[in-house]
Amino acid sequence: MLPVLTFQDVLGNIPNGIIIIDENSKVLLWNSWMESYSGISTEKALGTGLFTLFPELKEGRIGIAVNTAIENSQSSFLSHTIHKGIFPLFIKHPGETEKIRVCQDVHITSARQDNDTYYAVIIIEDVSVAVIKERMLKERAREEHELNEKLIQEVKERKQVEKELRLSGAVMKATMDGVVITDNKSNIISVNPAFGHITGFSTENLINKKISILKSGKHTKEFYKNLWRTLTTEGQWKGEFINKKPDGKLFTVEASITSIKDNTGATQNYVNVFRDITKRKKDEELLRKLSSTDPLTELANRRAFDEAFEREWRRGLRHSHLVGIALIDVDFFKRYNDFYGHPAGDKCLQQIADILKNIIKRADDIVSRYGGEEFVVIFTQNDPDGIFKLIESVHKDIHELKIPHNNSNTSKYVTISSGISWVIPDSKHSAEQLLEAADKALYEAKEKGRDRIVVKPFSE
Amino acid sequence: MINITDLQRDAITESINISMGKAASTFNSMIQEHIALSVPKINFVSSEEALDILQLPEEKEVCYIKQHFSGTYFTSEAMLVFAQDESLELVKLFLGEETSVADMTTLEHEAMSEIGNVLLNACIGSLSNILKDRISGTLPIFRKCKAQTLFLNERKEEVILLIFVDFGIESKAIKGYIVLILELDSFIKFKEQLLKNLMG
Repeated sequence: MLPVLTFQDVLGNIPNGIIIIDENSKVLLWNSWMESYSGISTEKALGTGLFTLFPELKEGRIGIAVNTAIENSQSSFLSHTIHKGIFPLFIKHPGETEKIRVCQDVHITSARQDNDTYYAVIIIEDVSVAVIKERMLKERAREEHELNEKLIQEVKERKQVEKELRLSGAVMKATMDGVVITDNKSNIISVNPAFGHITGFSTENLINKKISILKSGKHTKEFYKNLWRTLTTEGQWKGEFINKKPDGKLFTVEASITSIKDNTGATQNYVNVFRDITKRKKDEELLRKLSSTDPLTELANRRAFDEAFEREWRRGLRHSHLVGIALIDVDFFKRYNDFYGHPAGDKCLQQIADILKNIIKRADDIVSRYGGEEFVVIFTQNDPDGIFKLIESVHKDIHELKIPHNNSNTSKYVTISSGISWVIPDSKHSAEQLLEAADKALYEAKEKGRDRIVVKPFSE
Repeated sequence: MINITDLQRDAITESINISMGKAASTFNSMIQEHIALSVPKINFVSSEEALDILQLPEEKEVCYIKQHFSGTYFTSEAMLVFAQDESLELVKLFLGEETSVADMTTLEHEAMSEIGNVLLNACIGSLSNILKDRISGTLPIFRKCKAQTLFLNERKEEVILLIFVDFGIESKAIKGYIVLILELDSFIKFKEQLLKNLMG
């Protein structure tokens, strides 16, 4: 059997506010939820006009909606999202000192008693919990969204970095240049295959080794000091290095070292890109030699002589030391050539050149082939007597060679004539004058019958 | 049969426009922005034609607010339909927040419900004036669906009254559609009463 319940018993247990008003807005029903949230007792509310209880609601949405319900039987819905607690209802949560306004959705529908009597039923739903939950959810969604965006950004950046690394990795692999990356303490952290090819080191065992394993010992402390200073101040150093292979062989590289800084400006890594220029160096050396060497005798050629003479003259001028010149000419060489043929002539010149090389060994004394059968020696470390003795030895050695010369007027063998002159350079004279003096001496030697040495002092 | 005369159409359009003015003033009391509401045209169509006329692709996501109305001369499902992106502008306007339909929360659905409720009540209110009839309405519900399912679950032969609504908000023009689905006998009675009242 159903218990006997009053209307109020039922409505009182519904967790919503329920108000029923008649067409004059007079309150016919006011449940206990309304009592507790509005602070207005059912006793006081019943029979009172809704807009007497809440005058501020008459002109607004509630007024219109109530009217629509009673006049037109239409239902209205007022959402908390738009109206933010339209009825002045408050709740005090446990532990809170302040009462807070109830978040509420309001449903207004019409009810009809008989043909002409309409009521408005107002149901107020507390959506506070939903509002709080939604606020939290939104906050969380926002945070997640931000986190997501951040992650996406990070992933993007990482992908970009990876892509760049992949690309630079591919470049490092493919390039003919050696690439070595070190940390800021000069420990090797990465090398490319070309590094191995150039240096002769096995690339697998290089990680964490010091870059100084390549040191050849060919550079001065000053060189390294300068390198580090440039690298620190300018972030890059370019230049040539002589390095050493594991087998001790030296090789020359043209290197470009760049420092890689982190975002605080501190150097994290050094990237050293280099190419082996040992062969180029050799080629250059060869080329330099070719351009300054007489191919037949392998003595310095005329051009090299001019350069050396100019250089030594200036040096003598600076240090006030003696510069001597000996001009040596093969006697009746044209006849020798004509009689024995050019190959023999060439052979003869080579033999004389070898004697010159043998006798004049000082690094600073330069022997050159001056012209066809003419040689010139620059002396910078000898006194006049020493010069004479050296040239005398040359004459002697050539005599001893006994190269037959049937067409010579002076001997059965090849002979030479020499003119020597010397001076301590000063600003009043020129190198050309010294050469002229030696030339005069040579002329005199020829005039006096060849196969002899004439020394002509410079002053005359 | 569906056809009504231009005169009848104009009379209904004008009447609805007047009640839209009231709805607009209700809106303007709810938010800071000024909203102008207008109904440029109405159309009576069959449910097969409706989507074409609304120019809604079948797969298009739409949201609608639906209420059931019943009076002496007709009962109808009435819907205010928004194509998604446009409804967002309205939500933003009423809630002052950026959101997407997918992310719309329950409370935001409720805000949309209220917007739809105001419009549908205004619209039906004007019809009830023309018909001189009390038309009662239920509370609104909010739904999302694909455009193609909007008119699917109606079993009987129906006539659909399409009411085009322009929300003029600043420079933006948001379009919504009020769709009244009338069962055929409802429509016939509706039309008879309409003619009587308009002519009389």
